[in-house]
Amino acid sequence: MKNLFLILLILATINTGYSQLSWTYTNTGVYHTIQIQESIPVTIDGVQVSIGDFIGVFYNLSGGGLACAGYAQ
Amino acid sequence: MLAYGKQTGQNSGFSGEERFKWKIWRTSDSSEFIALPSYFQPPVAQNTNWYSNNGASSLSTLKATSSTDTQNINLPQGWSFFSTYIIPFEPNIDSVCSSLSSNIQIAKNGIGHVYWPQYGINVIGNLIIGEGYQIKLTSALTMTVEGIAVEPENSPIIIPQGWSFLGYLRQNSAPLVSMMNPIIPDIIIIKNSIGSIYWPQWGINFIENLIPGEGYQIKMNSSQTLTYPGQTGLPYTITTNITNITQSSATGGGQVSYDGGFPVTARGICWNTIGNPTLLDSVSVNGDGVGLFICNIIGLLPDTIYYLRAYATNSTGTAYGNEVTFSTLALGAPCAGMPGIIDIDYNLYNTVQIGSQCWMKENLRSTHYSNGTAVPYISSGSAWALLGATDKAYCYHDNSLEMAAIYGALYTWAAVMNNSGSSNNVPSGVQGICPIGWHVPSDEEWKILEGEVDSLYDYPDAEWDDIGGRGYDAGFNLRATYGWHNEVNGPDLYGFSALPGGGRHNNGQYFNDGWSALWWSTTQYSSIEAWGRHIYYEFGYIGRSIGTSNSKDYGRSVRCLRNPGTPQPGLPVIYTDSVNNISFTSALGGGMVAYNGGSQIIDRGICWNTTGNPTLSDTFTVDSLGTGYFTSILTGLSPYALYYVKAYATNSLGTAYGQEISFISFYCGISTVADYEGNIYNTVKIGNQCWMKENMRTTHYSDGTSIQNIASTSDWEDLLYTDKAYCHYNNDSTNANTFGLLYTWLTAMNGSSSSSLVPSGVQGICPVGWHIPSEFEWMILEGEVDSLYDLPSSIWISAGWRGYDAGLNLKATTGWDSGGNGTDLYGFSAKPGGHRSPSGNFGGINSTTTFWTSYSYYSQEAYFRSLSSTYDQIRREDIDKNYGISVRCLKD
Repeated sequence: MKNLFLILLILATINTGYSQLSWTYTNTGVYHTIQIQESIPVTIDGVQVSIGDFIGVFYNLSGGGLACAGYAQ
Repeated sequence: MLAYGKQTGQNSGFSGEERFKWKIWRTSDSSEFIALPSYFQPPVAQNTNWYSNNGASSLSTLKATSSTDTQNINLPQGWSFFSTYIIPFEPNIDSVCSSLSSNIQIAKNGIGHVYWPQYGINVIGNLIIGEGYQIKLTSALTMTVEGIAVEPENSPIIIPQGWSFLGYLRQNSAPLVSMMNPIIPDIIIIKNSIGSIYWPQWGINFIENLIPGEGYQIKMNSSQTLTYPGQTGLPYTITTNITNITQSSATGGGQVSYDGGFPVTARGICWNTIGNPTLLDSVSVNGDGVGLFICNIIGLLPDTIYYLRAYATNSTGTAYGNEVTFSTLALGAPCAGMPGIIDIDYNLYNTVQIGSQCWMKENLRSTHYSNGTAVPYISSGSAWALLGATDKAYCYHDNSLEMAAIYGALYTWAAVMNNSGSSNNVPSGVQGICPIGWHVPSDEEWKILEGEVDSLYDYPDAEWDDIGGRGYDAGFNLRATYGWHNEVNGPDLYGFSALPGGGRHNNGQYFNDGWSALWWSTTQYSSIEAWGRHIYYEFGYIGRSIGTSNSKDYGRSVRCLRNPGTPQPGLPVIYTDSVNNISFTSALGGGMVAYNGGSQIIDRGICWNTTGNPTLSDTFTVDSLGTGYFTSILTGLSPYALYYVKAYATNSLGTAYGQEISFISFYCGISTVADYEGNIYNTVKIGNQCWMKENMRTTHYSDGTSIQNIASTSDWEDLLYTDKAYCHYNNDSTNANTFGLLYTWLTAMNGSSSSSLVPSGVQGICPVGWHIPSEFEWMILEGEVDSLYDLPSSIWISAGWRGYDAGLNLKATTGWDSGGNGTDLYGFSAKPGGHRSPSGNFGGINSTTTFWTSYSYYSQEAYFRSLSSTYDQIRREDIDKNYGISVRCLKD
């Protein structure tokens, strides 16, 4: 099986190059690995996402709202 | 990709076991979407949708939609629980509840965090998918939640141990038991907003369905993960318990509680004998749709373990319920849950399941109807001869209570019917003389039995409609393995155990005991005749005749049949057994749980006191569980005291007691003693000794070890001095009741060494608490009963015929030939049982009796005592140890 890992470790201080993307996260030194194989469906309205789109994982803020804990392109 | 967790003291990152939330950013139009994930399950990946330090998960799909899902949740005034299947665009509870405006007073989550807008407190923060919340409103309102609907099958929920609030993630209502099924063993209780509960331990379910938008308070024995089924998929079914188990049939069923979103097109049960049954095994189809269904399973093998599951099929496939296991009854087994039945007179009958019928295993001997009305007893032949077709009467064969104990009573047809009209229904519907819940079989019900036990003709078959002898071997198969004329016994293949009780002619004469068995049915042939059944020792068939012997004024036996269906649940039915092996301080009691009352017996035993009507407030034992016979030891008794005993049994509905019996702690001459097989021996006190008043007739030692019966002359001749064996005199088992059995010395001693002690200390073949008398113990007896020679006297040390009249005084007053009866002055009641020589030949019946002592003369011979019809003295000699002679036991 072809496994292609899209693993991006991007520090919060690094500019992603996409000015509209507001997701940032902090490398806290502890982490959980999430494998995303290239072949799995990642869709919006049933349409596979395009190169350049992002997926992000978020956690709850204590006062409400979500904060990013990591993302990949 | 890495998802970063929270370090101690930091605010950034995931907390332990926090659920991942996903978004997709579409670059082309700078749009953000909430996305729903699904994960590969272990062992493909280590973790799924919760954060764990150094954990590893693997996404299998991630789906977003540009449309908005909306859930409207109706909330009442006051307190209620809510939850949502929506992942809100704005997950903070402050946003979610914004539509409630100022009507919200307070909201709480399962760990006590609050959202209290009046005071600006919000410790809850974001709503967590899968959790429930408790909320209090000043007025009823509808809360609208907008976002993306979750996929419940991809959203497992961790439910902690103890109390918590649980959400419901599906968009349709569904049965609670279906949704919770995987974790039901760990659920203590669930409550909804209006206080309805689900309490599985007690079978209580007032919630019934889980409803979208509602939240639930749940208490768990241990933490479990719950994953709700998808919106559509397989149906859900459970398998119900198996009932009405017979040798060849049972009743099973199931309940389809959820159709999985598609119509259930078939449902039923499947079974096999190896486990995990599927539609490829034996299958029944019992309709379609949701709901409860039952199925009668037939064609099963006796004494076989079966595995069974309910199933339900819809367009997505077939789902199976839980697997249940049951064993069909063995041939001859008692009826399930009811191994016995007790009549109004407290007679106990064993039961036997034959096919679909539950029969009494013995003939009825009740003398009263179940309402207490007595049946007229007529012993006189001339009085019986005056009876007509409508007269009620009963009798015992030869007017003998001993016969009644074996064969039951003989009844006229009118006595059996107790004013009921003739019936040939199945069931007959005629209780008649039978106990409550039982009935007299109709002619047709007899045919069902005949078809079940005959190896050639089934039921229905025209063969059974014939008159006279019918069938091939039904009669043979129903006969007991003992008791029939010329030892032409049957195989008792089905446990019916028919005995030849004979009948009573309408002229008052008794006939055919030992030769034939005759029973009534409820079906009359004419105003003066009724159909019956008879079995004759010479033939394999079973008779269905009309004519003289079927006149209603004949005396015939009765077998009762249990009414079909499951008896009403109630208290157990229990019988108190007689008390035996009575010593000064202990005794052996017991009972029989004849019916479990429809639920499991959780305690049984006996209770006793010295004042009467004992209960569990008095001294009692706790012995075992279940139905059937049990024994129990009464301890701590005081000597020579009167005790009252009852057996008891407890099920979920309460405790029931058997009939009360009384006994006196061991009192020689009054008390009896029983051996391992239940043979009862009377006792007699002579001087300071307590003797058995009868010869031993057991074929087992007190620990249950069996003793071999050697009948053949040559086999007996081949016995060594070290062999154990017993025989009946002339190999005729009817001699046992009068004379006991004949044992070799080593058998009597059960392998113990010679003893000349007082007491001998050798239990041997005797019951517990009794022993084989030694030489000196015999001499004590001889000195006590001889009118001329006391003990000590040197006369008793000599060999040969000794004393003056000790033998005369020990012999019974009857049974000795040649005018040799004794005076039986002391109640020893010695009877002339004869002996068997080492060559295997029998001799001495009616003229001599010989008893072993515990003293061995040398390796091949031991001492004995003998009485003769021609001597008044008693003989002391030694003989070969492989003689077969009698044994009398002496109390320790």
